[in-house]
Amino acid sequence: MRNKFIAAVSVSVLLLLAACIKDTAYRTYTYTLYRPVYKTSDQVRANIKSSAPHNITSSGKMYISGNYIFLSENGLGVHVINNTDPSNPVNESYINIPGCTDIAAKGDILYADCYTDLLTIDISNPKDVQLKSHVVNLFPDRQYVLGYHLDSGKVIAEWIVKDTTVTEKMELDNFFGGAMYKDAFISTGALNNSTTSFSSSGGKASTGGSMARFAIQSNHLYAVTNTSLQVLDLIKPLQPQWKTTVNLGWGIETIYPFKDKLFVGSNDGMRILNASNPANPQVTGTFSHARVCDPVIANDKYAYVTLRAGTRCFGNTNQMDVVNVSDISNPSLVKSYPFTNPRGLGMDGNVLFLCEGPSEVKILNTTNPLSVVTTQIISIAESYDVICADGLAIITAKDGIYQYSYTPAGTATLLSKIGIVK
Amino acid sequence: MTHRFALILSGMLWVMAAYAQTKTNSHRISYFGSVQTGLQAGSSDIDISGQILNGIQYKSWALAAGTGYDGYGLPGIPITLYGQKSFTKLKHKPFVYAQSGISIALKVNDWNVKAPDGKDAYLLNNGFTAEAGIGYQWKVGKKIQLVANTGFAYKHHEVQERQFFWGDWIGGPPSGPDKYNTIDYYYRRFVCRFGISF
Repeated sequence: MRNKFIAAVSVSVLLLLAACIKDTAYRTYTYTLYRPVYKTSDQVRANIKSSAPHNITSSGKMYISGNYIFLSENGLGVHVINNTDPSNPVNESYINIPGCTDIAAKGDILYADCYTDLLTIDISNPKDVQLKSHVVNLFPDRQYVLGYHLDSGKVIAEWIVKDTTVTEKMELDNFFGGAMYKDAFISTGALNNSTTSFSSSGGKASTGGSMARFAIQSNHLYAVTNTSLQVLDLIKPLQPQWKTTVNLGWGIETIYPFKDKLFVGSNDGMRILNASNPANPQVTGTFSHARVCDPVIANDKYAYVTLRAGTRCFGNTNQMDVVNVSDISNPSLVKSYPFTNPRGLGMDGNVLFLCEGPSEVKILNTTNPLSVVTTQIISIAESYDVICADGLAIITAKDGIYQYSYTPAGTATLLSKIGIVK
Repeated sequence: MTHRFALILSGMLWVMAAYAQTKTNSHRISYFGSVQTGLQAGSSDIDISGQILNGIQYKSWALAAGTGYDGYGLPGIPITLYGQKSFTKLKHKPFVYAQSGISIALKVNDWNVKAPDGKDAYLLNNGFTAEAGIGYQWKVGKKIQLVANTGFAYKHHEVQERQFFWGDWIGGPPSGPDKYNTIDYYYRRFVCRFGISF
């Protein structure tokens, strides 16, 4: 009798549990609210001056000028690093520039964006920089930031940051019960940085990275927006004069100057501009590829384009294309090399540094572009970009700025690292 | 790889179960073992279930350690403590059972997706599993019974999901380090298995 009772209770309980057959899931996420603090453009410009060095909390675009490294802290300002001794770089000062993402330097002058405007800053004394002039509304697509519109005359001087944690119920009714976002685009956050453009014009030698959006060549500053190329005359370096805008189409990402050419990377291909008339460069050739991110560097005969899938880059192609650009009106693919997730790259002669995937930097020998060989693999987590010239390679990565000396044979030795402080 | 591990583990337990039968002694405490396979169905999935039990039995009670494969939702290898109570001393008899333990998450299929930068899209944590139900066993040999059971199963896993970030798309402030959402999956479903016990 007792056993029958227990069995009956068990059956009843099991039937009652039928009402509970419902899979559920709860997603808990913390999102960061950014509330802008507006100031007038005049107030912001009055505050652009040197201050004590700040900790580097993220490595943005970098630009080398003489013995100094200028490193943008994305959206916040520029670190000034004295690199007289690459084995012992000194973080010397900080320039507060709200909305700054891209920089370029020529001699003693730093050009930096401040949201929609271009600033000209005298850096002859890096510990006491002076704002000299500005060009307004050069980058109109920067007037929208995180959904906020920058009204005329006002910019976002800082952000009040607040984390908020929310838990929401998800219904698992897809009958496959597994990962709900298996095809979602998933980002690691701001993974933007620099590459290698080289400017030989005047004063100290200046070099930018392959992910740079500013380039200086033949006394002209070239700055790409999402859709166009802005051309400014630097005959008077402290008073840049806007000359023209060249429409390039959507998805423009990077610019790399070489001699009288400009190589523009976009997410659907590479555009080559003939800049023999520096004030009015013209699109001469296009090399198209799948929709991915693609910084580019080049020499007289070949352009090296890394195609990277992921984040905002979409696509699923990860490779380095070697493109014959002897005839810039008819660039042609020479060979593609598969990589894991290539990012920025820098080249010095036949030595090519390539930031590769989540964990390494590869040094390649490009003596024969049809048979590029790896000469060394450096273990660096999440490297973004590299500038290499005169035997010194400066690599930005998620956890710091690395400097390596290298030989023409393509072997490198670590000199120093500036750590990033979160 | 993890599937292969589960298969090897299952095979080893099968061999152990078979070997253990030879060790049955005449005391009142004796060996209990079972191998079962079946299906489980809930609101979001239908998948297979299999388990192997090894333990002891005393009178109408059985206590065992169990493992196997649970493919429902986030697949896992359950490692459980299993208890069973039979109701009669007849050759064919009903029983109730309950088990609970940990569920070792298996990084397979949709859960093994890589983010475009090569990092894992999901980080899986081991979870909790529990099950209770009723069954019936038919004696078909001296020490072998056919077994059928059905029950209600519960499983909870916590998963870390990489966040989608728009900041670098629109040029906002720096995003900082990688961020993750936490997703708690609660699976509740019916399980139906068939097998043998000895």
